[in-house]
Amino acid sequence: MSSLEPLPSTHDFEPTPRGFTAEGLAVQALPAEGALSLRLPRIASTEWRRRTGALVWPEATGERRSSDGVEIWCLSPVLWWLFTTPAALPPLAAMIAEALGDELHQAIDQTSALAGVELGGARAADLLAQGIALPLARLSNDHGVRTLLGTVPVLLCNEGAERWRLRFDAALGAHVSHWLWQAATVAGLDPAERRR
Amino acid sequence: MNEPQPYRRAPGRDVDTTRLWRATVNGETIVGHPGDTLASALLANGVRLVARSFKYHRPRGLLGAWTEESCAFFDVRCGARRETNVRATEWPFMDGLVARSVNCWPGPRVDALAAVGRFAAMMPAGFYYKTFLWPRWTLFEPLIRRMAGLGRLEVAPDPVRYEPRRAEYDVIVVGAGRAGRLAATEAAGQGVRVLLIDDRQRFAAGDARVAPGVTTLGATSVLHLDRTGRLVAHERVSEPTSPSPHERLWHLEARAVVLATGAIERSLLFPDNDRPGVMLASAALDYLVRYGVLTANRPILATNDDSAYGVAGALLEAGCPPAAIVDLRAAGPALRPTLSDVPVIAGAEITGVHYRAGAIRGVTFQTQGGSRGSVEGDGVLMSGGWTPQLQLLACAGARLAVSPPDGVLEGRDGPPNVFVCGAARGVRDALELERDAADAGACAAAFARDGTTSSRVPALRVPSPEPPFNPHRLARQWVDFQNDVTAADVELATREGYANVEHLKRYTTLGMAIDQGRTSQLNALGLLAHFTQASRAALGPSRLRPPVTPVPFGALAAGRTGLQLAPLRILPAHRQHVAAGARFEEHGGWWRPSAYPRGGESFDAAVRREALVVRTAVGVMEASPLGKIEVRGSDAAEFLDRVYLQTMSTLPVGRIRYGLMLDERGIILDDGVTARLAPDCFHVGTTSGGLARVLANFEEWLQLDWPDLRVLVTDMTAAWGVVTVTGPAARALLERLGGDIALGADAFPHLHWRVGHLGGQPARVYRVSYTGEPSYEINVRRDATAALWERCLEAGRDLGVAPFGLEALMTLRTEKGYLHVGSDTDSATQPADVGFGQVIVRKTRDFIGRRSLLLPEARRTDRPQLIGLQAVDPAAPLAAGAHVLGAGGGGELARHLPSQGWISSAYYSPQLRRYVALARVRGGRERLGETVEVYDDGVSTAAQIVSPVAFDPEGRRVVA
Repeated sequence: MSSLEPLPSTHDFEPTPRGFTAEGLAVQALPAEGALSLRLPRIASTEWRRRTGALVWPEATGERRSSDGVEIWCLSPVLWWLFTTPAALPPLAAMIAEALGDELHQAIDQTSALAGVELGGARAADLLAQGIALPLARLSNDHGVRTLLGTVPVLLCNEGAERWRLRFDAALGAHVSHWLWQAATVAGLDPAERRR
Repeated sequence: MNEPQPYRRAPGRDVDTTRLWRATVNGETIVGHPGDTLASALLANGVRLVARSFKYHRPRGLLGAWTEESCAFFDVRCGARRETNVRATEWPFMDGLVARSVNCWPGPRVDALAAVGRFAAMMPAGFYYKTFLWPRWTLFEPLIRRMAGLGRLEVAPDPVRYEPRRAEYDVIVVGAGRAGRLAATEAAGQGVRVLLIDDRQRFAAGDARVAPGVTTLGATSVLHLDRTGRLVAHERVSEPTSPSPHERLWHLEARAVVLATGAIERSLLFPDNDRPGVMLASAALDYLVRYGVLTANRPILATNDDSAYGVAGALLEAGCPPAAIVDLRAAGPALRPTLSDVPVIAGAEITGVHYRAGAIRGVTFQTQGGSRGSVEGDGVLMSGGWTPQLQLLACAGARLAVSPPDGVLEGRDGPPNVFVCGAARGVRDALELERDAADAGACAAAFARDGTTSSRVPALRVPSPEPPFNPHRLARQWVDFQNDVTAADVELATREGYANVEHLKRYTTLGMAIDQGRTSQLNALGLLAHFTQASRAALGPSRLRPPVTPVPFGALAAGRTGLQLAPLRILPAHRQHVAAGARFEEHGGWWRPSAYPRGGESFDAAVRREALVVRTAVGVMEASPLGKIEVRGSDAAEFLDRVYLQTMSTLPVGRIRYGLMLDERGIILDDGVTARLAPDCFHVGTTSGGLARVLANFEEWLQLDWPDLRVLVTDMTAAWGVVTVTGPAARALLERLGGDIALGADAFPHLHWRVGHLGGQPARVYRVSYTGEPSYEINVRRDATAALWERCLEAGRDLGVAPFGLEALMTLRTEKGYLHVGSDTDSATQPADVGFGQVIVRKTRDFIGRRSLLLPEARRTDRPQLIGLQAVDPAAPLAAGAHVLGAGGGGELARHLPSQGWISSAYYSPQLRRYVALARVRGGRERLGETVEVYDDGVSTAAQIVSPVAFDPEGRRVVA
């Protein structure tokens, strides 16, 4: 790319996503999270679930469950992601490693790999529908899916009435912010930068 | 109204004649009303000559009234909106509109290029391809390039707001004519969610034409339908001339789809059938009913179909009696009664159109008995039968065919969830149409509800009588009006061997471009059958492809323009680079510093300073974009042996090895270093831009080819940030950061890695170099990168540290002859071409690409090989992309020598005070010392073929 169009003044490149508001819409960056990716055997026993104590594991791909401040996503039968606070992650990772033993093929601290935003408001789903092919109306709180926002891979979940969360490669924070801003503009909303 | 609109006879259904608007078309003012199209306003004002044809610049008028129009294209301007190549029949008339016909200058009436038509005989079918053969392409190229293309592209910002939208329904009905509305009503009545789409109508809330429960989408053209029921549609939300134009690109999903897309009338073949004033009869009726506009005062109807008689009746009623109906059928109309006030000449074909002083004066005809005659009139209305609009059915996977013996048009192998009804299914009787549409709606609803398949044939069987062959003056009978293809062109193409319908299409351009064969395809098929003496069934119609109708690029790109064109990744220490004055460029999907100019320093000066700093002191670069993949598992070493040219299983823990990854053809895919972290765990480095490709290949090989290997592959790129410290003082800088990693040359040699703490951060450090100097890649957690970057610059201040960008890095690696995949390699480069031939010989185990590397082609000694080039005159510049020619061809002569290779990388080396270049030259390694000519943009430079390694050939510095 030899040249780029001037950026909107409110969306100069930033390594982290930026929030904004519009009529029926509020976008804000998620606070830092601890993230852990797990690789498990293709055919896992049910025993390991029991060994991890209070953690509630999803039953199927595309689901997520929360318990005691830990959110667990099943992205495929062999790939799982856990989200919690940064401070809670190391002991959680150690507990899981011990509990799963040989059944845990790989556990990787992805804490700084992801960034996220939360969208709220009556127009939030309209905005996402510009770039997400999934039928958003069918996503319940228990769904946690890997999909594309435009061309960016994202983890998407519905946080309840008119609230959505997106997590994505931290390096794409500026891109996703700009995408949402542009989508709001195209949808006829009048986005304004959230005061920092 | 006191403005003259000589052909406006009635108010018309769609126009508001109480308001008068003015527009400028080709420099002349015309008037019209809200609701008019540009085409209807032109006709109302008596303008018949509106365009020039694409190839021969023949005068052209309007052929159709909607999407079938294939002659009248305009560049239009209204306020800030500018649009190129719009159909006059689709573009709404607007006060203040400025329109200019494309492909003519200064206008369609007087066109400077009209003289081209005199040379029509020299530009037959396949003319363009023939210029490649004789006498030579370059002779014709300048003229063809100047003449090619329609319209003038606007470079001003596009004011249209393009919005991508998505929705899903149980049933989507395409086409809101009578059949479509009935089908939608029936489906909605069965309790499913129905969307009704129409490309022409706009629907108001509570529109009485639409049943309750049916959602509508007006002014929306469906561009594509796939087998699974996904549709892409383009909606013109506001009128295109609105002050704030708004368009949407819809991605729609449906469980079942009803196609009520209607049919388009075909033209007839007769000499001069392209004259302004000759148009489709259905279009004339459309102009009369919708806009109250007559297309002629005394039209002549030419037909082989009953529907022309209906048009004649409507014209009679409007006070415009047709001069005659020339019916190709000896028996006359099959179903309709003849009109007593209109003479019918049955069993006759038109042999010529009298066109004089810009107007039609009449036609001549010949009966089947051989008698000749003429009819006076000021327009000709053609009705050659109806072609069902089946593009969407074809897009959905149905195969269109003309079946023997009765020549019906069939859609075969269509998906079970697509139902065609109405005129698109060949139904023309009103009562039958009602039954057919209701049945389609019910079947679609049943399929949507529970997947019930019906006995209804989802495709269609439309009678398609063979078009009659008119033997008179083939070169004057236009088959494809848009691309200027005549019956003689079809005949010539078949004589030259292009007897397949797809070959004919490509050789003559028949059915290409905006028209997509709407009016021409079946006529062309009939001609082809006639000339080849084959049946239409054997030839078959050509394949129809999306988009079904033209769509603005802006709408297709909706949401993906400018910064959204492709995801752009931002470095973890981006703010620090900005503060250091970085100039950025996109590289492998990352927004990376290319250099850090200081004060008034030029970009080039900054690059040279940075390169010198690395050679003489120490430089710092953020290398976070480098791909980082963790390969883990008991078979990890085996896996890497199979996917890399180099052997990785022999790599001890703690060591690093460079590797080349190939595809099955032995072509270099990517390169990078691999570190062995543990017996069963490797860190695989890739290029920044190659990460996604490498990951995809890894997963494909593991999941499809070697599912038995116990290997996990995880992308770690986003989790880690990397700061590279390189230069003679690199070690000194790292020592000042403080930490627990022993950094001495013996304790931490080149191509080793260590883990520990640096600058207060947990870090994994790789000692690898892309500069030829001692280098340390410090990997830390992504969110610690910015702090480490600042710490490095602070710690190295008295060592003369400076940040350096990609341009300096490219200079340094070119001095060392290090390969850059993508610059020094292309889609044909194999390892031996870039100096890795011995590795292939040494590795006895199998790996991806090995078999291809053992083929004779890979062993040819005259393949383009990577070498260095040094200009004989040290001050002479060398540039990437320049051609390497044989010796002795200096000056102007050089351009006539065959190219023997090209420069793949070239930079000015401040260290060597001359340009350094890497080039791919045929048999280059055997030609060291040879002097060649380097030719670039008219300048020839003498250069010597040398070793690729221009600096520190012994490699002593990197291991220090």
